[in-house]
Amino acid sequence: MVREKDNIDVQGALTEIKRLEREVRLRGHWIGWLWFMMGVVIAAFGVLAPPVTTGWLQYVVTLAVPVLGIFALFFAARQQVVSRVNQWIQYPVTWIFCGFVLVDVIFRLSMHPDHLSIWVVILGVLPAIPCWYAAWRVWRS
Amino acid sequence: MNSSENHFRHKLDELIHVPVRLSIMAALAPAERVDFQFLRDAIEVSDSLLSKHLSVLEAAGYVEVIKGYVGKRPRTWLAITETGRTAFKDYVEVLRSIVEAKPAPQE
Repeated sequence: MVREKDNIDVQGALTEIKRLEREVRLRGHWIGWLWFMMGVVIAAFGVLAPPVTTGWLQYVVTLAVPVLGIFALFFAARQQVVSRVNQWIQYPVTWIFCGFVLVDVIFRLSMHPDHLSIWVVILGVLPAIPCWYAAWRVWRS
Repeated sequence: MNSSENHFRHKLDELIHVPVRLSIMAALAPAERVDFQFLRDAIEVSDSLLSKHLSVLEAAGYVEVIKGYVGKRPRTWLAITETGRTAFKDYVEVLRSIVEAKPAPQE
């Protein structure tokens, strides 16, 4: 317990700084998990979205996106540390993500893919890459 | 200036070099912002003591207190300012200089 009148020695101060820095950084890593999960769900949706898949799987991949969105809102509201790295990267990553989603949408509207192909996989996974990059940057911080 | 005032310790920021305030600055420095309750628990102090030291740091322009709501629940966020970040960085540099300084040769 930190007391108000404690004496503070130099080595103790450095140790305390290191301890808190580690604790706060680890607490700020939650947003990395959110970016990672967003990448997984977006990639799954991009590759397996109807009409590529049918039956129960199409409902699962379609529902996964809004479920993740709702989960993310509640999860984020409970967090107590906002990552510094995330503050820098969130806007560029979001714009790149939107750009890749647009490419995927244009591909689907023009090619009407109805079965799994290499292009469906590549363009489906593409929007997930900036999300995974963001997760990696946050975790590395 | 007295020769003894050349020692690194005279360069220590007295505002930060207090246990609770040092812990506050150390916790805020690596984050964009930190919740009041998290900070209180991380540095193990009471609400009142934390508030008291936050007021000092806020008055010095080192810390910013951001009040808001999550739904209907009030929430207080704390963030280090650019002035605070620079002061803390300098403070840590001085601490490291003290640790790394070789003891003066004895005559």
